[in-house]
Amino acid sequence: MKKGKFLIVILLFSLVLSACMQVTKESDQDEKDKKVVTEDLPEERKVREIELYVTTPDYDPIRYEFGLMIAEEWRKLGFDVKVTPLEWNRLAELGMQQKDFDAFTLSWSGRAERIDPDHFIYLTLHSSNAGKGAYNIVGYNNPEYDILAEKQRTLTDLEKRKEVVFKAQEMFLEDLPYAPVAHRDQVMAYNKKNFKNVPYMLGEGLNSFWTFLGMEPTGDRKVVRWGYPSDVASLNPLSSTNTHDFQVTRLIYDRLVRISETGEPKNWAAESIEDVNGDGKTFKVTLRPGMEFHDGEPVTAEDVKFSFDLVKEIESPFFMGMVDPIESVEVIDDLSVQFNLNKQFAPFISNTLAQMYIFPEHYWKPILESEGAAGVLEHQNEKIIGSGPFKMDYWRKNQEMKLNRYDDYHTPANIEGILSIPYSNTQGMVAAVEQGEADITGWWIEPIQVDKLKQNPDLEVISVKDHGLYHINYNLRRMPFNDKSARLAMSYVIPKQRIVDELLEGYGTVANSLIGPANEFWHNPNVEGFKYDPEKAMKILQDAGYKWDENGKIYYPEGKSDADKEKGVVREVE
Amino acid sequence: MKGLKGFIAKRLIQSVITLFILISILFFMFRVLPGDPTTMFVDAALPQEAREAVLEQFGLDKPLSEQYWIYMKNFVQGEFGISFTSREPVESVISDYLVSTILLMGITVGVALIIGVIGGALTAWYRGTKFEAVVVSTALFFRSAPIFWIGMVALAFFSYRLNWFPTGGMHEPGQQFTGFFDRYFTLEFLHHLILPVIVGAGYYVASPLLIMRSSMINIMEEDFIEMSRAKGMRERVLLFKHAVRNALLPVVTEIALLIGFAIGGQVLLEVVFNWPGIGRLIVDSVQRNDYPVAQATFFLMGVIVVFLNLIADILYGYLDPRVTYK
Repeated sequence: MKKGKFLIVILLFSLVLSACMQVTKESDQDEKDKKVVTEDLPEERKVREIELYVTTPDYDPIRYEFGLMIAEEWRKLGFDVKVTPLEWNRLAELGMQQKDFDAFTLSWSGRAERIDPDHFIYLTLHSSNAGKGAYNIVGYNNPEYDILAEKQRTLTDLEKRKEVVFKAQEMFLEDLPYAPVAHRDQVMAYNKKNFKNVPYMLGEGLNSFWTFLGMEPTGDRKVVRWGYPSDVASLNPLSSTNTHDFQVTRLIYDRLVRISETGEPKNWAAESIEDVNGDGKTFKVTLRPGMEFHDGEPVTAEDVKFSFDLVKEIESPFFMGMVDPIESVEVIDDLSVQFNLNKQFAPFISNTLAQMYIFPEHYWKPILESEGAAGVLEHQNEKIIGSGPFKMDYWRKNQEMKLNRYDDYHTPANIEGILSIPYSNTQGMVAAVEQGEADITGWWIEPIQVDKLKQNPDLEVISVKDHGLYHINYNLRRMPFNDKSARLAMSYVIPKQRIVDELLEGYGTVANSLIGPANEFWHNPNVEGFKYDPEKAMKILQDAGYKWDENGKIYYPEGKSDADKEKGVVREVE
Repeated sequence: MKGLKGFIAKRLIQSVITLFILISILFFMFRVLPGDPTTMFVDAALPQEAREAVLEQFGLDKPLSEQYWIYMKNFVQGEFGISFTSREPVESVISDYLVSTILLMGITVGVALIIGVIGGALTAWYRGTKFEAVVVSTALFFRSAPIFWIGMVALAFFSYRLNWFPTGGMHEPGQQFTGFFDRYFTLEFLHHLILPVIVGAGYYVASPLLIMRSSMINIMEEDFIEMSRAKGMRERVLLFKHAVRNALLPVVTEIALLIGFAIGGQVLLEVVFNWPGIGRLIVDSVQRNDYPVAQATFFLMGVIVVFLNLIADILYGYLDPRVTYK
């Protein structure tokens, strides 16, 4: 009996061992076939080990997994790659703050304000943004590209601007300063037994303003229960920086302009906006008549001017950048104001007017006068008074927040209120929606959970194409990424289709351009991008003069080495 | 008595020094963590100037030594600063969650102690029986399995599958409360409380149970037990009146350690059962690099543990006449 067992174990062991040998043999064979071996390569031309940072698997399993896949592909090209998972805080610190990395996986989330191409075209690639903490993470520095990025900022004519944005996308693809990988669909679910005609939008899914304004109750549940994996941190938008805070406060405060469901700016609290001199530097904004704050005070031009002056004065973190292009705001009469810009700024309507809140002057002015800027920033704002479609009822921290419909709103909602319920994580939130305790998942669902939710007859699973973008950042300040051929070759072996099929289980699309196809107006359809093509990658490297030793390890071309940092170095902008 | 007073004074001074070292460690501990409170802005497309403005508002642009000095000065005056995420004074952030944590933790630890003492006494009394083997191995099983795993399994089975209990939280959503009693003295609240209490108590019960058991075994070998038996005293009276009372001493000191241990378990319990308490606040504040809240919550835990140990030491002297203070 015992002997038999022993034999089986030995047998299994040898089987496994031989299988392993087989595998290593085959892959060795593969690589040997492809690479031309050069003898006696000098050690200083050997490409150093590259470190690829990825997120931890529990922070984002997708980014972790595709990091491993890509590293495997790079190794086949002969690169030594080390994959290091990092906590998000550490990754943000090293990658985005210090710019101390070789390559790392990142995702730009598809926010409504990123539908305007300025974030991708200007902020992530303009050379003036390559300093510490700014968004040109990779350190791209191309004067020709800079001209395009600056130009699109000044063109208020949409068609003309589009042309420039298209050109910029083409140039991006030629240089590939970072490699787009995939656009992940935002998959969310709501309870269709309790609610119908539920709108949702690009970049926001079911958390959008239009969802809560438009959805209709089907039966007795008139107050929608909105599940979210964390609680609101602060109700004071003047000091908050937390995404979820703004998803809530934008329902309580009103905006002059809102980004519509299809992604265009739409006059909202503003009845009309006119470019006074036609040069994109002076705008006259007229308010809808008859609007009131939740406490019954009228909304006037004074409030609008006060709001813009206030955020400038107290250096409100979230709004600061938006009001930067504004020189001054003048009150013309009770319902109209004039914005004077210090320079042309194309995203003014979509990213300034559509993001800014109208704050009630009668509420904030006394606080500013008695407690100063610090007092305004530290104000808890628990009685939050706005002029938006919902008003505050109560907030029990980490338990629930109740908002009631504001009946006198110019475009009243169909539901009677919102009950926002924080869960400690996404699993808890999804489970609550499955059980019918909550009606909306306020966070996207992991691909593995989707099928289970689809089988639930009470739920409607929606999937929105996203213009957000999974990508790999290359540090262009260092070799080998400083060398375009190495960068291109490494990008050509990213198995994008496999990532979409296997990791996202089909809930996503391959990314070619930095402006995704979901963002229809700004996406350049001619940018076909780069497909998975290992042979082409090898050819690029060979043509550039890269060599391989007998172990299949890669060496720089003649005259290049790891020490080459001077060429294409970024202007460090202080 | 002079000995006892001197002992208490000495222990008090030791405790204060311990806490002082603790607050210094806390200050540096959170600052060596990667990132700062503005790390979260990274994806919010906030300009660099905004980050700098925020760091300045929180005084994080000053040199570390100066920050430390300010921090210590404020701490001595009982000022814990304002939360970086809500910009609310830390004391009021914590007080929002204190009641729900004390309720859950108090009840869980209480249940664990009662079951532990009774179970420990019985297993010692019926030593060598099947009953003892089952109770001890069950307690050890719950003690060695991770609490969050037990919690998730309990949720999956009792809440999702059988629908016997709510899936988490403290109340059904969307209720109005008139006052404290109306909020915490209802069947509905009890219904939400049962599952986390069972899971938590199951996790904590092993240590009081085993300590009680070994202490009982020692007591049962004492002469006075034999003596009472010989006198013909009833088993039950002997067990509860004589043996258990004498065996309780080591359990008293165990309470202090148990509560320290329960603080860690409480964090996981709250996350798994979506309980709105300090445990979740700790997790959030560490993730968000909200130094003032993280420091204050950890400090609070430290105070509880140090203080309880002090109490246990003093109590022991009162309870056990054999202890003398030199």
